[in-house]
This record gives sequence, structure tokens and C-alpha cells, in this order.
Amino acid sequence: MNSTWTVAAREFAARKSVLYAGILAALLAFGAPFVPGASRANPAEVRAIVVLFLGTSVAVGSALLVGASLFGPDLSEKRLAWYFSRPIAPGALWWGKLAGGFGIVLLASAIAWSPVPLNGTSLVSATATGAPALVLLTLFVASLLGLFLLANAVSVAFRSHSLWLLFDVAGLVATGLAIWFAARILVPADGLAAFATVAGVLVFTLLGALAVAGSQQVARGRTDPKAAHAALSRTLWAIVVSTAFAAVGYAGWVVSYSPTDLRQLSFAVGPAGKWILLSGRVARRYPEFWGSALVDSESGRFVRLSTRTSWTLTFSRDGRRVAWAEPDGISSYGPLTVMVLDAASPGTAPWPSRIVIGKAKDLEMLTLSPDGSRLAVVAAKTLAVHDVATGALIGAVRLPEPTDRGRRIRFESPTSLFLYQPFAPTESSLYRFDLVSKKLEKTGSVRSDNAISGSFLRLSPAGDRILLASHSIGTWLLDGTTGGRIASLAPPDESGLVRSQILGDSRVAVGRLDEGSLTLQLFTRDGARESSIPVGAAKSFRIGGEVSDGRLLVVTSSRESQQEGAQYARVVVVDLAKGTVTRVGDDLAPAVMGFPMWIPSDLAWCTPGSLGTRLLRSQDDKLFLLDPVTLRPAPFSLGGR
Amino acid sequence: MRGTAAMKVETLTVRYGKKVALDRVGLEVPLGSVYALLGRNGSGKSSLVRVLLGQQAPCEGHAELLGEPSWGARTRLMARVGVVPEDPDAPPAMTVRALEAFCRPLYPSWDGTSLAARLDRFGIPADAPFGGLSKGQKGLSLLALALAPSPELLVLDDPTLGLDPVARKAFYEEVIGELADRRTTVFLTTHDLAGIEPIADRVGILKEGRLLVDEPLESLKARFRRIRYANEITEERTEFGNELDAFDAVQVKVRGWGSEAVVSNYDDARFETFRTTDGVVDAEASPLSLEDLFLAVAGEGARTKGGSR
Repeated sequence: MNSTWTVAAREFAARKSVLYAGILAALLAFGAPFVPGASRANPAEVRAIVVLFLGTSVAVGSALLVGASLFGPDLSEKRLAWYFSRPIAPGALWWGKLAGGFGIVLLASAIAWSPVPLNGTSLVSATATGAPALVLLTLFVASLLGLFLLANAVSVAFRSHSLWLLFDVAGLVATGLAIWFAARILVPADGLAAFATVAGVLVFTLLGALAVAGSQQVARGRTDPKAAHAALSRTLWAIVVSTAFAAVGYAGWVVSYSPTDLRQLSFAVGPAGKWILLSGRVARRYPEFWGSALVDSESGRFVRLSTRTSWTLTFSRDGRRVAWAEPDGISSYGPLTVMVLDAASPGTAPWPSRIVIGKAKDLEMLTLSPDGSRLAVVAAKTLAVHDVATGALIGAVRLPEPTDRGRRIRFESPTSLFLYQPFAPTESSLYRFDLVSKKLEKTGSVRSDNAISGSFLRLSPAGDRILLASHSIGTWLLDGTTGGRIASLAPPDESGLVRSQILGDSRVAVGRLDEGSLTLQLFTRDGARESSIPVGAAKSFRIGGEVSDGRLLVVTSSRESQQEGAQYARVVVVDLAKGTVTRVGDDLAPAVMGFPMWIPSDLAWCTPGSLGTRLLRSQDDKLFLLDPVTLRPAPFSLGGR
Repeated sequence: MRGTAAMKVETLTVRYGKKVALDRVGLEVPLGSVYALLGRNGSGKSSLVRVLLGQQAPCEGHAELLGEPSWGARTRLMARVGVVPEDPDAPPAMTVRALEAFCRPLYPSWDGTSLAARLDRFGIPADAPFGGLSKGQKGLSLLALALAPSPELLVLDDPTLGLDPVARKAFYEEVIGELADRRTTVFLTTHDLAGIEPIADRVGILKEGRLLVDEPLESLKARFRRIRYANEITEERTEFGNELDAFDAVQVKVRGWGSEAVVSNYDDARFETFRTTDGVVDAEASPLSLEDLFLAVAGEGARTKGGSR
């Protein structure tokens, strides 16, 4: 330790002249407000700006200059023997020179920045950032140290004139490739936080590796420039490249989750079929990483989807085909390829279609036709319809302005689509796009006093009716083609006491809570009241899907809807024809909760009796499947899950 | 300390790329002796010194100082070794006083009084920057610093190169004084053959990385002679060329008056036999100075490997 401080003191003393640069910068900053022309500005601000420029220049410049002259020149000019002829351990020489050299850089920087606190302003406000001063200072010092060590390494490498430079280039390329691979794995999988962690670890590894490699350069290379460069390069790249490839391994591990690793699950299912999309936080991943998997509920086979693009998932009505978009690269501006899974064929893997979306950020939605042979793509303010098998463009049309997110698309027939376009604030328009004539024709509109978001629109499976349910507007039944109001089923309700559901046959069920008692009112497809069924006592409720034709799943809770866990409550099935209520179980909830808004397909709800209508979950993520005959829930596993 | 060798190297090989700087060199420097390693520029002397001082790792072989491996135990060893390099390498901005202040805490046995006395004797200003000193002053101040911790071993790498005669004289006087006082082992490389001849006990000669000679100076000088003679054709001897075989000649020159050879295997009885050889006339043998000896072994005309015993 004694010799370390001796070396440090000597290094510090030898570089005293660096302090003059700091003093000069500080004096210039103090004097800046007195420069003609600057005198009218706020003196504190002028000083802060000058310090920002000069202080940074002094800090960066001195770190580079002192770092580059720490060992490189002494090595190449054979002056290091002076130290090695003394009883100074290599470690003492390295850490001593490092401490002394970097100490002078810090002191010169502190002097150059000194006008800021003396000025009465803070360092943070002077640099116009919102980061805490201590964090900012730590990052600044770490960056300076990085530059300092990097300058030393580059200086030693270039002054050795050895072929180890090629090794350095190879190390750099290998590290770059590893980082690119890690980014290629994590970024498309929406693992930006994980990638940021990888990048942070790599930066700090580089910092540590430069320090350790420098000590090896001195310990093993001593006075021999080539040997010093060799020791430096071997140590540096051994650490950095192995860490970079470990980062690739980590990236691979992060995204190689299985459905059993997913927690805090959310579900989406097709209107029919056995495939379920699970999304959730992946267990044992730090930082937090969310994944999605499309799972065959019978075999347990699964396909991982990036949560970044899993919202693009679309099922065909028969559930036999699934399509979604996958990024081709790491850029959110890059292209997307539409992937297709023939879900009914056992063992088939997803295949890339020839449908490519030019820019990921432009994609708004994908919708498969009922038979899955065609795909409607809304991107870059254009609606395009492709043949899925060949990727061929069947028709495209520029969408009318103004455009807004939240559209709905429904295939009326293989050659015709309906487009429901909510226009803020008070009018939504309905269009028909004819693929034969390639014309977009406005068929009607919905007017209201308040804004209508596309998320409030629920379409009947046949497309003949639209249920518009909004707290601010009320519950309206609309014509599916013209948007004309057929009936107002419930008034505006801000307290969540009214909820509704459109049924498979276009009838509508509206639930009302009145003094702690839930009543289900049934309306015909023409808006006429058909029946009223008392369900029982409840403080909040939700309406699920039809577990079979005419039998509606309802969740009633003794807690207010905003209370924690209120959604896990008593599940009953209401027979709409008989008016009976059958208790299914307690502390359960429909797994597919509410309308799957993030899958803007043409379908309002799952086909009665389909998997999605009968799948229940408990608060601890256990799944149950409701038997449509006995109405009893049985534990359900996703294939091997 | 193990054994009686202050320095020992075995099969030491140093390469720079394809160039072999030291080729399986082995030598031993006894404690208390003065070893002069001679060699032309580029012969490998400085590489050997760097390896001995633990500043450079050899490609093969190993080196020991004072019984310890010079690479592995360098830090510990340097507290017992004084070094004066070929090129004065002290930081030029530091004064001699600052150099002393830097060195003092590093050595357990620093003798500041003797250092001050030596600097005074050499007339070196303690407050002048090292870079501002003359070449002679630099060499002398480094010698003073090297002697201040009272080293057991002094390594001098061509220390008088470029020194004027006055500085050179002062340098050697100081070394000789140290030897007389403390019997410090000295290992030096030099081109100043006249300067070291009076003090060297043992001499090594390096040529192109190979150690041609490694023996006490006295025995070296005893076995090397310059022989001059003329040839005379007689009835029994009509051809010449092999008459010097017994002497292991390292250099032979044919002059107008006869032949001149430097031999490495001289003894009086053998010379007497040679002198009376048929056809050899006016033969005379004269001793060589160290410089002559060096030139004969390491010079351009040398034809043998030095004939070391």
C-alpha cells in the first residue's frame, strides 16, 4: 500500500499542469458574464452554460490525455524500467498510477465545474436533467474513468506495433456480434428492460475489464511493449467477450420460457378451437420480462410470441388458423412478417407468409377472414386484403381521414368487408369495402353527444347488430350496416351498475344492480324486452360468455368492483330460456375476462360453448373448465401444463 | 539466500519474433565478484539484463538473482539490488531530491546520508530537474541512488556510455569504493573495456545471442595470446596452414612478413613446441588487452566460438 501511494503521489505531482486547464476553464466561466454582449443575460445562466461546455471539455480532454499517457509512452520509450528497477509491485504501479492520474483528472474537472455551485445554482439544474445529482455524478465519474482506461488501452495497443491489434479487432467484432445477437433476441421479444440490463452489465464489465486488463498489462508485460499489449488484450477480451457471449446465453434463456413459467396470466382465445394465447410475467427473470405463448390446450404444444406484437394475433372464426405479425429485426421502424399457424393440423409449425408490413410502427390491426384464407391488414392508413396462402394482394384502399385507432373490421363475405371507424368526438362511420369493385362505400354512421371509442363497439357474430355500451352514452343496440339506433337498452351509468353482453343470436343481455340485487334483462335482436331474470344479491358483477346456447355465465361479487379480488367471486350460469340460476363455484372468474379488446377481430365474443366461454381461473392462476352439461368446473391443464 | 551465486541463468532464450536475442545462455556470477558482460551492440546484453532484473519474461530457461527467481520475486529482490540503466530513465521533470523522496519509502535500508555525501562529491545540484543534468551527472546521480539502499548486488547496464573521462573516472572510483567497503557483487555490461579491466573478476562475451566466453578474467587473459611468426619452406615442410591447430586460433591474418594469430589455447610448453616447429621462424607470443581479446572473439574477423574451457 505504501508503494501504491508513493506511485500515486508521484503520478499526481507529475501531472499538476492538468490542473491549470481546470483553473483556466473556471476563470473563463467566472468572467463570461462580463463579456460584451453576454452582460444582458442572466449571469448565473451564462456561467452555467460556459461551465457545461468548458467543464465537460476539461473533464473529457484530461481523461483522454492523461489516460493515453499513463503507460503507453513510457512503454514505447522504455522508461518504465525506472519503476521496475525499484521494489514496486506491479499492482502497486498500476493502481498507484491509476489513482494518481485519475485523481488529477477528477480534481481538474472539479475545479472546472466549481463555478456552478459557487454560482448559487446546482449541478443538476445546470445540466438541465431531472436525474438525482448523486446518480448523475456517479455516472459522470464512471464515464470519465471509462474514457481514461480506454485511452490507456488504446495507447498501449497502438504503441506496441504488434499483431495483437488484430486480436483486438477480432475481440471488438466478437463483442459487437454478441451484443447484436442479444439485441436480436431480446428486442423483438419486447425485452427492452432485459437488453438495457445486458447493456449496462456489459458497460460496467468493460470498465472492470479495462482496469483488470491494465493491471495484467503491467504485471505480465512489465517493460516489454508487445508483451504488455498481449497481456492487456488477452485479459480484456477474455472478460469482455465471455461476458458478451454470456449475455447472449442470458438473452436466450430469458426468451426460452414455457407456458408453465408465465405468471399473472391473461388469456385470449379464438371464437372456436383449442388454442389459447397466454400472456404473463415470466418467472425467475430479472429484470421483469413478459412473454406470450400460443398453446394447444389439448397437447400442450406451444408457440412463443413476442408481447411486442402478440396484440396482432387474429383467429379465423372456425379456430383453424391463427395469424400474427413478427418483427424481422430489432427496429420498431423495421418490417414485420405475418406468421401463420394452421392450428387444426397437429404438429405443424408456424410458417412465414409472404405478407410483409413495411414498418412495424404503422401496423394497426390484422383480421383473418372466417375461413382463414384471407387477411385484412390495416397499416399506414391503408386497408389491404391479402390471400394468406400466396401473400397476393387482393385489394387495398386508402382509409378516410381522420384516422384513429380503435377500428373494427369484419369480413361480411369473402369479397366484402365492413369497417367500423370511430371518429372522435361524436360520430362513428361504417363502411363497406368491396374487393371486386375495390371501392369503399360509407353505409352509415353513429352519432352521439360524447366520444365513441372503438373499444365500446361489440359486434354480433352475424354482424347484423352492434352493441354500443359506454358509461357516458348508455347501452345502445345499433344496426350493423347503417349504425342506426334500434333501441336504447340502458341509460348512461358512471357507477358500473349496468353491464351488457351481446349473444350469439344477436340478442342482448343487460345486467342491472339495484339496491344490492342483480337482475338480468334480456332483449331481442330488435331491442324489445324479452324477459327479466333475478340473479341474486351482489355488490358488483361481470357478464361472461355463453357456455352453451342461451346459458350465460355471470360472476357476482359481494365486494365493490374496485375492491381487490372482486373479480374472483361466485360464478353462476343463467339459463335465459328457463330463467334459472345455477351456482358453479366460488372464488372464480372467467379466464378470458371481458371483451378481448386487444384482439380487434370481427368477432364480438367466443362462439357459445367454445373453450373461451367455459374457461375459469382462480386467484392463484389455477384453471378450470366448465362442463356445459353438468355445469361443474373441473381442473384443467394446458396439455402438459 | 540460497547458494553462493548472486546471479544464475540457465538455458536462457529470448526471441523477438523470429529474431533470437539470447540463445540458451547460461552463466553464474559468484557472490562478491565483479562480472563484466561484453558484447557488441545488439548482441543481447540488454535483453539479458532485463530478464535478470525481472523486467522481461524469457521465452525459455530461467534466471535467478540472489537465489530467487528474478521474474517471480522481482519486487522483493529489487530492495536488495541497485540498478543503473544504459539510458538514464528517471522522470526528467523530477529533481534529484524528488527522486530521493520517491525512492526512500520504497527501501527498508535507505542511507540518505551517504546519498547526500555522494551527490556532494559528484557536485550534482539536488534541486535541478533530472532532465536538465548533463549525461555524466545523470549517470552519477543514478549510481548514487542505486547505492543509497546499500544493495547486495549492483547491476550496471553500460553505465559509462557517453560519459566524459572525468565522469567515467568518478563513476568507477565510486564503484571501486563500494566494492572495497562492502564487497558488493557487481554485474555490468559495457563497451568501456579499459575502464572495467582493472576491476572485473570474471568476463562473459556475448555474440549474436550466444555466450562465447564465461570465465575469470585472469584465466582468460592467460589462455589468449597474439602469436606472430614467419614461414620458411624447408626440405621437410613445403605446406603451411595447420601449424596453429594446437592453439585453437580465433583469428589469423597473413601479413607480408608472415602470419599473425590470436589463439585461445595458449600455454608456454605448447608455444615452445610451436616455436621449434620446422618451417616456423621468429615466433613470438604477446599477451592481449581485454579490448584486443574482445575484438578477437567478438569482432568481424573472429572464426571460432571463443574456445571457452
